[in-house]
Amino acid sequence: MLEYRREAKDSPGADSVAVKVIGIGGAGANVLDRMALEGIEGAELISMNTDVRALGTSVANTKVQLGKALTQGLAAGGDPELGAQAAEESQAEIRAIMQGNPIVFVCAGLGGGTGSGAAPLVAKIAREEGAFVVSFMTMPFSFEGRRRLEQAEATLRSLEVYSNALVTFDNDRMGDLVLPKEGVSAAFSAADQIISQSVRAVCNMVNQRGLVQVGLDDLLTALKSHESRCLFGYGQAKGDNRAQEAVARALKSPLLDKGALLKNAKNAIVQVSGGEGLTLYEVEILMKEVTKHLQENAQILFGLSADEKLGENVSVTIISSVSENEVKPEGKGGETGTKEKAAATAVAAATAPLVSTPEEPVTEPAPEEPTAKKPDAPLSVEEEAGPETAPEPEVAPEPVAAPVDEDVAELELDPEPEIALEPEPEPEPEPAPPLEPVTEEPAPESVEEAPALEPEPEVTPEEETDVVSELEELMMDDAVEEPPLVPPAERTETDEVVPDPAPKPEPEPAPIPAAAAKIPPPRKKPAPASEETVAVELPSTEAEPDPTGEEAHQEELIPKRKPSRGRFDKSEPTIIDGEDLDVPTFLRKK
Amino acid sequence: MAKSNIYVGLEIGTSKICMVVGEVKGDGAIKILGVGQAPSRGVRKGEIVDYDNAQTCLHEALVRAEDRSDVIINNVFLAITGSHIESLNNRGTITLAGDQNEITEEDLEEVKEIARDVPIPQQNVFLHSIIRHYFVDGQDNKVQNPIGMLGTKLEADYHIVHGIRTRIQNAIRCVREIPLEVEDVVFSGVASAQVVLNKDDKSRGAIVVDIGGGTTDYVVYDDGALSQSGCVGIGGDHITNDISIVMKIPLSKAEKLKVEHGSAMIRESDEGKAIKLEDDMHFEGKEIDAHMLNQVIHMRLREVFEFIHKKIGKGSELAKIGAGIFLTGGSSKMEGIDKLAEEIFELPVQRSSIRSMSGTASAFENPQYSTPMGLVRYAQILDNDKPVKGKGIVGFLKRFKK
Repeated sequence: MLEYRREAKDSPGADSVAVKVIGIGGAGANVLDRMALEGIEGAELISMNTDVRALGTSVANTKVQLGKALTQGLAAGGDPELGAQAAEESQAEIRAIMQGNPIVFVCAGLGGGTGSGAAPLVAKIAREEGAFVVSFMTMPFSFEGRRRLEQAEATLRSLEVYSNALVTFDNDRMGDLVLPKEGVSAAFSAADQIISQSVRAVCNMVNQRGLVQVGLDDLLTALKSHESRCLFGYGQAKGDNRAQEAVARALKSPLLDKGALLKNAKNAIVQVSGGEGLTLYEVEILMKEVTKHLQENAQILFGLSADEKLGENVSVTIISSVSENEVKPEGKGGETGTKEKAAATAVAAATAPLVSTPEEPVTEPAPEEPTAKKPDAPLSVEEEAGPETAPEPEVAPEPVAAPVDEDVAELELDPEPEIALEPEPEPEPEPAPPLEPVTEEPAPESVEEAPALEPEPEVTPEEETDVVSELEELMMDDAVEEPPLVPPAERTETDEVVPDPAPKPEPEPAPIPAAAAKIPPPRKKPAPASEETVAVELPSTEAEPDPTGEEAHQEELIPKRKPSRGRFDKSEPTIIDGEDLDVPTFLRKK
Repeated sequence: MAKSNIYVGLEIGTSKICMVVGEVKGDGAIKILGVGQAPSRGVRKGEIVDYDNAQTCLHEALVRAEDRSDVIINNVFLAITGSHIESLNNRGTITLAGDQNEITEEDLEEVKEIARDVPIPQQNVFLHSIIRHYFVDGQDNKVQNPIGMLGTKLEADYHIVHGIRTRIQNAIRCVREIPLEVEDVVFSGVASAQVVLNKDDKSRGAIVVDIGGGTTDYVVYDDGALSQSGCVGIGGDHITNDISIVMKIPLSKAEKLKVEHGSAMIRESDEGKAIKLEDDMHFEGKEIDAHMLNQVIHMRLREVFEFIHKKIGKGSELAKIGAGIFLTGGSSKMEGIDKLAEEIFELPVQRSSIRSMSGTASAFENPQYSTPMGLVRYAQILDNDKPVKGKGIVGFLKRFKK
């Protein structure tokens, strides 16, 4: 979790995290080249290969030759063993690169030698060095043969262990990316472009300060499912209709299947950025458009940032994942579950303040981020909530507006910022303090800490109930509490469902009136906006019960995927054109 | 190798292991002396998965064959199948030296070497390399035997069948441990075609589809020469299995249902018709909807045919098929299968069994036996083809010994 607050306080200089994009093997190098071509901010590109010649042509700023002595500059020849050995030989060099707890993106094409062999080791070393690892893997074409596919899958399994998030791109889907008549090279570069866009979007999302920040934890949530297929869409547009157009473009992305796949997603990150001219109204339209394509109760992790460089443009990034396999209810699942809820509450919190300060993006960040962090730091809530109401408002505005945003905000909305500040202090007192303590250390590993925090949030609400003025806070707390409460119950999802609905109804209605009461003057626009946001929130709050529904859905899928093969269960499958021919045709085609 | 003119064909099939003993008479006619058969266990999709079981069955078949034919069997021709079998065509070309115009046997050997020298996957091994045609000085002159002809350029078209070495070795080893000597290994489809097709069919162009228990083998002849061959790992077993899964009945019942009531075509008369199953005690059991049963069979067979059609169609060879489709193998006894094939290939279809054999063969005019019978036929052809070559069959197996 990268929070501007923490940076503002601790080390104003370190406002971005070191991002390292590592391309392994030929396919990885292609992605890097594409990325360099399109420009990527603040990321170091590192190419690793066994093949010296391929390394020579790479544009990466750092190059690592794997297995100098082993392959003597030749490629791994499609042998993952060799690739792994080569990586082992160059272990020290790889380790040196991982210094400094960066975010590491590992890009490789699976099925060959270098990529398949070295990628797991690289991911492992990165993880050992404390990096946050996101793996983008390209699966081989099915016509490359079963053996390569098996190699690729073996690699995937080990990568799954070492990566915080794993995204695979199936080469077979490459055909969807381009028109049939377009050349092979166009298809390949389109595929590379998708991966590079994904990486870039993730980097920007994490590095740029947002008005409504999307953090790594949100990313984890969105990509949480195992063996997921990443849904990624990016759209940019300018002009009168820019909001709609940007969404339309984002949805056109082949990985989204024209938005159809989004229907299956449980959660999605929707990041909106725009230049100075971006109005809240536009954001609202845009989000409306996006939510149309999502499940009614999908969880939306909403992010908003202002970026001068975009100028007239508005850009939308949609990241989500659809599990191709059953989601295993492991420990990790539980943890991410808590995150989900935290994020959900964050959204809810964010929207509530939005109501109060209608057109101001600036005001939003303050409330929501605090809430987002709350779940992690219940302790701090107890201690600081009461006394420190004053300091927070100050803190909030500064970081938000800080370098980029401040100008923007002031230019556009001079009168409002003040108004915004006033309302904030009241609801925020609590949120702000928790932020600070939490964010400082746990940043990447906050997920693990979530369970520890569970007991405390329950206590906090009781204590604070007495204070009338802090009713709103309670609401916030309630929202916050839920997530931690849930994880224990999560294994039995039915239990989960029961507790959630009860507490939520209360928090939602409350914040709205509170906001309204405080700031009657807001213009007419805010009102619809608030409703809008509420509408968005509602689904998000309901997102918790969903898991059950979704899991049921997945259970439905499982038999389809692995139908009985009867007497052929134990024999080698006959797979032609991706169909398991041992399964009755009758069942497959019906 | 001291060879009699008695040949034994052995097929280790998915449903049965079958050994056919045949005697080639002086005039080339084949007389079947005896057939030994045993139900097969430990074989899936044409490949041995359980050695011990398969060997027990094989032994049983051997004893029966020896008993019936009154011949002591030492050598067999072994049929090989499995979805790993692939084929391709290759052409080799040599230019004859300027001062020499007449094509000699050395030239022929040289061009053969070149034509056979094609890259196949490393783990694969050549199963057959069968000459299709020779060309002398250009495309238009298809020649069967160019020796003695005049020309400056000699080309040879070869059809090459290859499969995964270890899998073929496994089958051979299983037979050797009986112990029996394997004289040659033959792709099942090629063997079947030898008895299913006559010369006329081959030259008019024909497709043989041998639907066995575990696999469906197909070979395509055009213009008298083998042009395509291949194997799909789907057979009658799959149909039984499908029925068993869809109807939720045991495999043994499914098999019975398939044989007694199955049809590859969906008949209107099936609408609403129910088949009553008897349980072990001959009480009435579950009722099976005949329409659904045939739908299951129909869809499976349709898929197999469509797959083969797609494969063959790739070479746009279908237009050259004059004689049509010949269905053989145990599953070709399925009712309506010919109509289904006709619908998909749009070619005349006939169910075919063994021709041109005498003796007890009449008892075996059953498509199930076309592969082992074909092996005997193949052995005869092989013998006629290379009587001179000292290298013969002993050298043949060398390629499988690594």
